[in-house]
Amino acid sequence: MRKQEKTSGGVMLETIKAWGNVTIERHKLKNGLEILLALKPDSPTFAYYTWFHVGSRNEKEGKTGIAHFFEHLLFKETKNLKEGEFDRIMEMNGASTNASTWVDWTNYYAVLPSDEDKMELVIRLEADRMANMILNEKQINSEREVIKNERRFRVDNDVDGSMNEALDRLAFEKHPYGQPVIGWMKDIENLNLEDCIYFYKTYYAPNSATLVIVGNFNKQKTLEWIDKYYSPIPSSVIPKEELPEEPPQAKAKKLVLRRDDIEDEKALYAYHIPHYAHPDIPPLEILGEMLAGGEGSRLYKLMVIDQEIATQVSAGLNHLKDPTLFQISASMRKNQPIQKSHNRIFAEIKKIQEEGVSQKELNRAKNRFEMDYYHSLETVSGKARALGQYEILGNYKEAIHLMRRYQGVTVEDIQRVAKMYLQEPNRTMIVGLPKKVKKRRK
Amino acid sequence: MKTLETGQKLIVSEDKSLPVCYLYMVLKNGAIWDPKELEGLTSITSEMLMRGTTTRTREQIRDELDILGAEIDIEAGQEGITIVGQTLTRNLDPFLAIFSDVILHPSFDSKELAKLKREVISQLKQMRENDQALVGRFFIRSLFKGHPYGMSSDGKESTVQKITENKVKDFYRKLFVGNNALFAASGDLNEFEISKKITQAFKDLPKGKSVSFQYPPSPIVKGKEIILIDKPARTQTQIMIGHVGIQVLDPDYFPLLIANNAFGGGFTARLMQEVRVKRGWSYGSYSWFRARKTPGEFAMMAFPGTKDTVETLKLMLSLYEDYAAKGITQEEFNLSKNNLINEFPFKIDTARKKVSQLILMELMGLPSDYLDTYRKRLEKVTLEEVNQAIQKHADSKNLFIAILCTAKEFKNKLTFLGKDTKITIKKYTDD
Repeated sequence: MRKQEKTSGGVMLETIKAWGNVTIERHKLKNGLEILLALKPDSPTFAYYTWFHVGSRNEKEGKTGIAHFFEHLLFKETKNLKEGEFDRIMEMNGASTNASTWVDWTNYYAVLPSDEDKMELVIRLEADRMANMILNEKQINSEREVIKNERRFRVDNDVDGSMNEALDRLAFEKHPYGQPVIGWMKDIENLNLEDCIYFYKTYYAPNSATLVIVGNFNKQKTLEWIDKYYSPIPSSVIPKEELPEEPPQAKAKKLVLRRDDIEDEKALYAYHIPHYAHPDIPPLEILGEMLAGGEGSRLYKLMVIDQEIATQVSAGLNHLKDPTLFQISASMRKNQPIQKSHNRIFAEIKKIQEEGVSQKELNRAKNRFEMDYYHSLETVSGKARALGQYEILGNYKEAIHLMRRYQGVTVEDIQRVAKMYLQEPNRTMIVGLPKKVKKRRK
Repeated sequence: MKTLETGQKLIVSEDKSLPVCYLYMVLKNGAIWDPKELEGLTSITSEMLMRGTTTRTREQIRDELDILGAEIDIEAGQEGITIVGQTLTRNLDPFLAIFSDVILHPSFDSKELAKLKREVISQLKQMRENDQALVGRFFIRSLFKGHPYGMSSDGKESTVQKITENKVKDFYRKLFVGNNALFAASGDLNEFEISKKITQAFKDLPKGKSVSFQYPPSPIVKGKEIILIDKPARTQTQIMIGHVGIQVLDPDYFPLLIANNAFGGGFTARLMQEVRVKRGWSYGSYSWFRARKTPGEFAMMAFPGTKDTVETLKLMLSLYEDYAAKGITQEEFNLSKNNLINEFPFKIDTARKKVSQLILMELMGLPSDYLDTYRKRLEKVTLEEVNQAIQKHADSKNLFIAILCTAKEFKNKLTFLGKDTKITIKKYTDD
């Protein structure tokens, strides 16, 4: 790390090189706003991401969906821009904009052609909506209908969406990771103006945000504009996060969903595992790759290619702040009972627990992981997503040195984590069955 | 772009920032070439490349690629087949050996073919769980009924079953030839080096004959025609409305690009504003026209809750009627045009995207200055030209409508479309 340097309105904390020709600097304003500038001089575009350190993890029971609700509201009217103006100006300038909400964060992005005027514009508009949203009943009610339709689309009329929601609900008894990011329908219906104002005032503040800018831009001017537009925004008092700890699961859980729109039997399997920073995460993630990452993986080979009992099988985990789930999913072929999937998957896990894995298999999984990692960094947006996500999780540098953490994984690590976490009492299962299945088998 | 000693064009875009590179072989034929009774043949033939060569089994191909951290994906599109390989740069040479082997020496093993057919049939069934994919499939199949654009690349259960080893081999021999191919490469590589490597690796590719496709005339929709795709227990409906649009070389292409962008292209467009922003009836509502070698579809879509379905349908139809009759306003024109001009860099902001654009130009027969003049062509378009193009191509009287819903709730509510509207009900499980 280099010495702290003074920059306009804030301090530069450090600068490092990454991904060939990218220079990354970290700055912080006095009001707490963190800034990551990643300069890639040969790019014709830049990505501007605002990451708020708030997600569905911060929602109380009965108020689920509010973080996501806000993702919608932030495109509405501000004190300086009337309804629709934000989108109009952005589109006029060729920007691609959107936002997403997750359990640990909410982000807003604009990707634009490299141009100084456009950089100042996006800084001005993003700072404006961080501080000056106008919230009223009319807007909330109209957006509520859109969100209810989004929920119908992503969850209620979608088999996978419904099963995933059921899995989180069943697996987490205390922690808010058990609540759906989009919110329960009844909560979406009941969220009110007061809830929204409280949420905005508390979490939409510079000390709850990190700006990540990646691409080709004038660094000095960008810092000056950030200072100019963001420094006047006061920081907020963010309540201390007191989330309930998820108690260890002592007994296997299972729920069967029967739906008219399920074609063939399917299942989700989940095991509680630690949070992202835990040293067992890399071996668990590589274990997922070995089990169901591509055609060469154990379960894919067995269930899809050799025995032809399933159409797809996958395994993996999300990088989250708090303890999360290792998940496996399988969809069966026509007339293939899901019990076969249970038998194959549990037997394969047992085999790894007892016999371990080969070095060749480990190398394969690591290589695939490395390729996926580079693939995800191809665009300015990809780099901004990686930097922002790991900054939320603890440190953006993790995005740059991710492979180091994974290269050190050994065959012993894989066997150890399989034994430690993939245990029956620690398992939650959701089984999805077609409603007509009983008739067919008579 | 250069031409290899073996006669094929080679497109290269270098980017050394990450230690990965991409190789492409593109064939100029696609799924519309499938004989009607063997729909899915192009896709199956292409996928069979990965199912074994004369010296490598399917498993060996997979294992060797995995050890290199490499992938080969094959996309059998309707008007082109793209075989794209990605590898860590340090493994380029061994990767190229596998890449060329799967293309040049597929074994077309009969057991693997039978297995693949079973897999495709299972996937077709699985796709029925995805309402949006399903309505799109029904819409295109019905709008282009009898036309090659109405066929699905992945075929139908009944036609996939009929595909034989001999048909696959014949198809391969005829179309996987030098005169029908081009190559491309992007990422951490050097143009001179990669052209030498590709020439060497594919020196045994038979030249064959260059091939062309006879397109039949586009279908015509008369009046309004509806299919209701009946699926149980829906609380949300998928609506698609459209007609046949324009071909890629149509002189009205750029005016219509601006027109459609204003009508249903983005968030500020009419459809999104009226359906979602003002009324909250659907999470999204868009329109597009797919410009292909001969006229592709113009379509608009929305997915409202069940209770708002009829009103959403009425609204979409009236918005389109108004657009077809009056065109767009000066303000809409300015916004749409500026948006398209300014967003152009995103078409080519990575080496891979640049290569994709250049491949598309080759496949669609676009002029070589297409990308260089793209913005200029947009800049030249006037509001008058846009509205003339709308007058000419937007047809609000003759429309095809596909609605995926729980049908019994709707059939009687569609009388507002008039007695002459033909309504057909299909089961979502129909082929």
